[in-house]
Amino acid sequence: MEIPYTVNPRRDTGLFNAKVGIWLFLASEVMLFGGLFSAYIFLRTGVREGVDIPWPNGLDVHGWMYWIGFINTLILIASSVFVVMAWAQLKLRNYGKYQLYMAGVLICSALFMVNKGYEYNSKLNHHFGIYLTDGTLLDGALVKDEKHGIKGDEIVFQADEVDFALVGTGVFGKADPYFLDFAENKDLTYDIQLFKAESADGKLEFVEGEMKSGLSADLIPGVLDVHIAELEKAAAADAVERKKALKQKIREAEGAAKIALQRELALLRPIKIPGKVVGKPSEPANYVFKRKEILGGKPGKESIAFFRGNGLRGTLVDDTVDIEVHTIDLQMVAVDTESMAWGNDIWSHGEGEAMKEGYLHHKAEAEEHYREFIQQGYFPADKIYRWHHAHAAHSKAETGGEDSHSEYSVVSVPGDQVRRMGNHGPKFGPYYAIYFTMTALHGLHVVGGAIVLGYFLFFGRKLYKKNPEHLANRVEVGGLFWHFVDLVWIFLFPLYYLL
Amino acid sequence: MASSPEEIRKHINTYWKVGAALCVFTCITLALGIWHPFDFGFPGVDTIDIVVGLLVATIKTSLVMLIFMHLNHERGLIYKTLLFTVAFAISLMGLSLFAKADPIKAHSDVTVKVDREGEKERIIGSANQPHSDSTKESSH
Repeated sequence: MEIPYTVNPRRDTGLFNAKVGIWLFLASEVMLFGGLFSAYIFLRTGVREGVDIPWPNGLDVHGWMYWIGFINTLILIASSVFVVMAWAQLKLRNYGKYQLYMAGVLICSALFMVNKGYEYNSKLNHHFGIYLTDGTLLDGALVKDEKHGIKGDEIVFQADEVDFALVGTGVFGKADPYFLDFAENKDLTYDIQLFKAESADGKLEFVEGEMKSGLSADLIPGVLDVHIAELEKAAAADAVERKKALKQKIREAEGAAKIALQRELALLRPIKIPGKVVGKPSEPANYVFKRKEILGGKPGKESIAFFRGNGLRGTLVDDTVDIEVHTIDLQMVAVDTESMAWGNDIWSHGEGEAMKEGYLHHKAEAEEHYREFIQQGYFPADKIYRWHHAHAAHSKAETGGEDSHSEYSVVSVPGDQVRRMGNHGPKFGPYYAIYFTMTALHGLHVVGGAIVLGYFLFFGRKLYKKNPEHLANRVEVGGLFWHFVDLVWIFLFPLYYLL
Repeated sequence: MASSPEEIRKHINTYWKVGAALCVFTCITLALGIWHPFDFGFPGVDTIDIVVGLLVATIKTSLVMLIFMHLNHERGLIYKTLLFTVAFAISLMGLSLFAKADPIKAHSDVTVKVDREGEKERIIGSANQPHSDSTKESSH
């Protein structure tokens, strides 16, 4: 069947149908992105200075990353030119040149996505923020711990006893001792104290049973699964037994006693199996894991609780966080000069004295600001002290005549000074939430547009031979979508990277 | 749209020029972000930089829409569609005004008061979210 008005315009609208369609679609897309831009305005204007997590100034949060945003903008502009040129070449019936320009569009979109991936990777895997317990924010890149050779957010715990969770009941119950993967020594074996079911005075109890010795890490899940199944079987058999006895009693009883027994029967449940079994590694062993694995996010000095009831007992070896500080933000601290960021014990790494000098300089600056504000009797919201680009200062003597700011400094923050920390993912704050939402949605549009335009490039020849004008119209419509994607980016770039 | 080969050949030149103009405007945006030439030290978010930045973005958008998307000579139906889109999009942006006009938060003052009692100064609350003891008199 021939679809009408794919090539020639309709008399009433003066347009071929696909064009009306794409403009209606773009109108709805404007509303989709419009809602998110509206959310952006809401979030950004809603930040209460000195109270909320500050809205990062684009340049400060991205560092040199704005160059990637800039390059991506140029890439999208180039692709926009290419797509309109591809259409024009089709109109001029130059199929070869059309292919060339269209290939250019696809290359541009691929480059765009590669850059985007680089940027996301840097945010999700390298850049972290740490809120100290007083609200100071240290922001920067995680580095390796010199002592233990671990990543900055990792924790070392030496355990001589471990808890294996016996989670879940019924067919879905499955042991998941995932923390075994955290052991530094993969060849450890474990002794596990199992339970056995014992019936005393007609009541079921789970008491210490057999000790399973010398289990390697890969055998343990199976052993635990069997153990869970055994315990549950015993509990279920016991419940049946009790039910039978109760029913017998009900038959014999009368009146109020009978009703009470019936009630007891209705409420009868199998007894719960124990939540965990205790195991011992063959030797006290180090376990290395990320802070986010811990239940509640804070390691205990003598025990670690993981999700689902697993845990370690022993000694906390190292929970310091090593971070190369790019930005210090004191907005959440009432008295700037009392911020934990100034604690000299933190700044013991790297260039030592030169670093300290820099901090003292900044501290003096902060004190001066603060005195000013006290005299005025209030804190103007924009003046609450914020220190970006936390470089070390080098004196004139060291550099030979010039004050200079050198590399970023690395600090070790003791674990108990960390209130919370996280990568620059969507969870880190409203900026990152809306940034990832909008750029990811935009990225999906780029991919979608590239797929459609790629189809026109690789499978267009047949249609071109049959009716070149039809292909030109398709490319025009696809191009309109592509321009729209470019338009969205034109706004995203300044809003997220620069202003 | 009219599209004889001659006209299209003429347009091709325009497309390249518009592309170059877009690149230039992008550089302007970048310069705005780096040097903040319109930063006059006003408190809070520097509004002028943002307004200028968005103005540049709007110019770029208009160029793309008018030239690349051929809106400079399009049929009436499309303009009518876009008229509604623009109206609704603008009202979407205005939605956040409802939050600003929230009558429950009485004040929109942006200063943070410092409690001067005692030796240790501390912030007792911002106007937007008053601390318990500074919620106080003004609301009664």
